[in-house]
Amino acid sequence: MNRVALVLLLTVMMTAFLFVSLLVGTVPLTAGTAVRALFGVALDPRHVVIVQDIRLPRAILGAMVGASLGLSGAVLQGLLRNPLAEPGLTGTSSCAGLGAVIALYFGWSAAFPLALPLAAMGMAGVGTLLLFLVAGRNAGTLTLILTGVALSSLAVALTSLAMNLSPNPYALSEMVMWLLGSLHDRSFVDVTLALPFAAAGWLILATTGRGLDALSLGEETAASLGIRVQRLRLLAIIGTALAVGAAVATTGSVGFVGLVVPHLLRPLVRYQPSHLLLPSALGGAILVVLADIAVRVIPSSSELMLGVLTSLVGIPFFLALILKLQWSER
Amino acid sequence: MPARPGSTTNGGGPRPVLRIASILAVVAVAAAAKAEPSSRPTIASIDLCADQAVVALADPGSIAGLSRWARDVNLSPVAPVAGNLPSLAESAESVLMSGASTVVADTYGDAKTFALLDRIGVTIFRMPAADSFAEVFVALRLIARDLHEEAKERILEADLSTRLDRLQASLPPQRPRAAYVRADGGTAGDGTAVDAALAAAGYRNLATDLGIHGWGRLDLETLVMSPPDVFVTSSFSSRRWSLHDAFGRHPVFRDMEARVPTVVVPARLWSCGGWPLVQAAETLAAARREPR
Repeated sequence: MNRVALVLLLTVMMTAFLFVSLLVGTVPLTAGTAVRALFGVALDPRHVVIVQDIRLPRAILGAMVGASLGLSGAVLQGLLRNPLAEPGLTGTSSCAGLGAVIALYFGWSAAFPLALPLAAMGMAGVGTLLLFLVAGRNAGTLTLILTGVALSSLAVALTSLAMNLSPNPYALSEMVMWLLGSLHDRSFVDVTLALPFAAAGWLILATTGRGLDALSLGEETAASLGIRVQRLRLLAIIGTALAVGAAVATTGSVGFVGLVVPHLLRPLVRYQPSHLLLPSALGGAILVVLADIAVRVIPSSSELMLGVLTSLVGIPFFLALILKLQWSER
Repeated sequence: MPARPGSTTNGGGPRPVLRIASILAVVAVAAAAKAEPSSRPTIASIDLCADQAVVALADPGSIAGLSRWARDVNLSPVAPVAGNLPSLAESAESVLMSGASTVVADTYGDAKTFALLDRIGVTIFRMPAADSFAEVFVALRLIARDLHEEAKERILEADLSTRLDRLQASLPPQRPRAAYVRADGGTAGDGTAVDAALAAAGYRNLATDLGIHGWGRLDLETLVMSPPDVFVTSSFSSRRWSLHDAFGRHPVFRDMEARVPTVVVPARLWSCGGWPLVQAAETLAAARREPR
């Protein structure tokens, strides 16, 4: 498919799902009412509050989280030259969650709200850096996944520890929130807190395209083409940390988006890493907004967690990818 | 009518406070005199709900210890007397060391702990959970029978019933719609102690109106469409900012909270469905009589 056409198609799809997301909630609103409410001209002022202040920030945050995860997945896969690299599997999301929990429970974020995304991004950066240091630049699939599992188990254990040490009577349900992610009751406060950092992360990640293309030919070839591989790696780590850290700080970790989306889109961009970046961001936004529509539509006693749905979609892909890699390695 | 936002109603009028204090004062005096060897402490409570029953019913000198939450002034209505009594962990070891031969506990708790206590010869009385005033009395009667303190229970029950009757008689005719909310959006519908206290104080419970049974969640959109006349909260501000509390932080809720009056019921009054629930109802009713 033509690259421009693909980006256009995904943009249209994302806009459509964002709109559908405004129609979904516990109070039934028709499309016409929702549109009028969105522009603040609904007959019932309560509808304006519901669409503008409850559903809109939730939709925007969902798109932001999805874009961050999709884009980070695409960059990490290009950089590690491994289709299984993904913020969830590399432990980046869990580390970001750990940072956020530390900021929350030791009262830093109460004194200084920016401490929350900053701590999440800091820990995400530390986590990704550790992954690179342990797994190395040409990590095999096994090393990469095992390192990711180790990092993420460590981060989850420390998160649980931090929660148990803090005076929090709801530690258990809070833990589920961090592990599975939710956009429930998020507001523009969360959007303004996270979006600037996530956007900065996107911009940094967007500059890695040419380097990733060169890197797909091998590290030495990339160097001979004038790519400073160390710098590329650093940009990818910083960009991922910003984007994933900001997303996780407000939503908790939502798994497998960064795995599924680049995997689905890669054939459509003829396997060129740089052409995969923007479509992956858009595709990630679509997937998370769609999953967030589903958690509100599926009838359940309490709202489903976002990560439950993305994992249900993601794990079959993950297993299929492992099988495919096994076949190709034979 | 309910207090304005910001000004919070704490503890109700002076009379109920005196009541709770008088129940506790008797216990405190006796607990201080516990050193006398005449009665050996034999009864232990290992959870919050049992603490309330044990303090109200057992002979003070016979109390070998209360749960580790008993001294928490936010959660425990018997905190004023708990300081004089040993604090027990929820474990067989600590019960054994307290010398108690009888343990009072609620129906939750670790089954393994109870099995172990049973094996070492400790008698266990499980108190049924109470979600209404009738059930509060049933639970008190059961424990009173187990502890052979029926006479004391009858006095307590008569006193509580009188207070409830007086409360009923004093209620203004209109029934404001109240929404009990926690920072995480949690609420209490039909069949909870909170619902019972709201009903006794002449409120309509929004959660119950919305068809919520037991402990449930209030939905922000629904709340926007049908706002309550009053918010009822407990220890809202003592909670830290957390991901869990997105509801309480949401600008839509904050905005509503600024416009709708809030009545604060101290968490200790309904942390359990026990005798302090009557005071929770009195606190709620007192808030209705306060001028705006």
